[in-house]
Amino acid sequence: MLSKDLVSKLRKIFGDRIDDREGELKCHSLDSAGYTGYTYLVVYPECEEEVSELVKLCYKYNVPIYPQGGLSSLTGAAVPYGGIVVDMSMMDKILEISTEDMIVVVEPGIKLVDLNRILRKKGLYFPVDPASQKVATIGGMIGTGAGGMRCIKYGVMRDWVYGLRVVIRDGIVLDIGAKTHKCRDGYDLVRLFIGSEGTLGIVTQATLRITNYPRSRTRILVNIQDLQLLGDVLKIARSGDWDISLLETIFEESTDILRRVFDDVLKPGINVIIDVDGKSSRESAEELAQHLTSIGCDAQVLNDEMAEKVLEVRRKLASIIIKEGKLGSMGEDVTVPPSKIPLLIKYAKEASKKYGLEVYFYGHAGDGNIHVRVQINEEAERKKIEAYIKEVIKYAISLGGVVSGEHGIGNAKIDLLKYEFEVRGSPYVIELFKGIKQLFDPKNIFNPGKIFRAD
Amino acid sequence: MQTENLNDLLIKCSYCGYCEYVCPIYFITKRRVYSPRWRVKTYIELLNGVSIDKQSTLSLYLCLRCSRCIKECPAEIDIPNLVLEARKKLTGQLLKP
Repeated sequence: MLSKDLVSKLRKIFGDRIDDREGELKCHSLDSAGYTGYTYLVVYPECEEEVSELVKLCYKYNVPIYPQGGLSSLTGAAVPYGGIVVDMSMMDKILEISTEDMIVVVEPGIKLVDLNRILRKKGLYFPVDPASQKVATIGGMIGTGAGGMRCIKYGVMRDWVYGLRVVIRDGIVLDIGAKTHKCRDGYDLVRLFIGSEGTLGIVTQATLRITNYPRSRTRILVNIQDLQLLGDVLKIARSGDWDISLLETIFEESTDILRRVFDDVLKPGINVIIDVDGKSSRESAEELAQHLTSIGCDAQVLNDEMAEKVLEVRRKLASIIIKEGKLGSMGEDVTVPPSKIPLLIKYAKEASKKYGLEVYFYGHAGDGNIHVRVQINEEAERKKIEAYIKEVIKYAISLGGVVSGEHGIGNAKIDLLKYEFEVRGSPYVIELFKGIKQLFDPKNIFNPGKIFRAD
Repeated sequence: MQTENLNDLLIKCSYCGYCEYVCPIYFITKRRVYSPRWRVKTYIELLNGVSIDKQSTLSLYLCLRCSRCIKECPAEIDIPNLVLEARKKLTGQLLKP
């Protein structure tokens, strides 16, 4: 419980933007992965000063703080266990758009879809593209170090954040990074905060790099029957001869489930969607398709209508799998070096047979990030599914992969992250994490219990 | 939609929040308790016999039943219909002697 003194002080700061009613507390205590916690209070700051005052008080009263964005985390990263939830949705303004410097300055609560809606009017966009763009906020994307479908060309969140304003212990405000494209001001604290899942402080402002929306983009659909051939497709596509901005793979089982809903879009087998950008993207795409056909693929350059349809089908895939599972599904985001994808998929498919599970594979093959989604058809299967997912992740680590490409660690992967560093002969990394946390948050009040367990 | 079918679908609500973006009430209030995803969870609690708090009850009555959320829901849960079912149940509880 919170002290009356603290709540009364917070009421003076936040007025009616503070809530301790049951509904408000409960709806901020669960996430889309099914993690459920509890909290005592929800506050809605409108400015950095309020966040700083809140942190100052929480430090004084030793109360944990849980910052939240869209609450769409798949790892329990934003779920509170006591303390105060800081809902950042009211800090959602665009403070500056500079077309000359190609940057945008935003508050953390802005949703990605809203930011891009405004940027697109100027022919610009922020290209980090998680499927949850209508839910994801920039603050949450910084916290998780989000990725998405266009990483093959544009990279991930850490490649697009130039500067941050952050509130850390005792309400201290840090202004780190800059508006400049180059910045070598000592240690790179901006990147330290990206992917820190709210455990080091609360982001109150971000300076993001933006880019021009591509002049033209042409889509190819590649159908293959042999997993080994996928390795060649990836190699060719990544050779640097083409300006590729998307390379999504839908493996056989996922193709089958999509064909049950959209029977005229995909052929049976493995389907690879490739976007080619550039001034003359159609010519480039035709050249690439020809090349892929020559090695045994069925590659087609799509017209606009079909191109739209194919990507729409891909975006809906996870939803369709979830809908088909009797009790929903569980998903993972293991990542391996792209060349190891065929090995990972082969292993994961064989393991799924061993466990007797219904598993679907798809994802961002261009950057080695594969989503493994397992159907939950009966309650008793849950433990088996967890064991299966752990086995697949352990194999991915043995291939030089990592436990998470874009979803983060949260509660879900604490043990697996520890295991990963042990396998890599670097268990000390977790100790370093603890040391960094201690420096920014000596009382362990920022989103405690996430990424690693405190001693 | 049959209530049984509706209940079958409810279990598939993952609380993803895709419905939130298009909800006019959430847009105005920016309070998650007044979002479609919380309405679904509230209805599940109602079905499970959990007593519903005033704010969550208000959320069910604030819903405009505009149906924009249906298109966004990956599980295609008919949230406006669910809200109607919830209101019936709540009214039934109030009318009990």
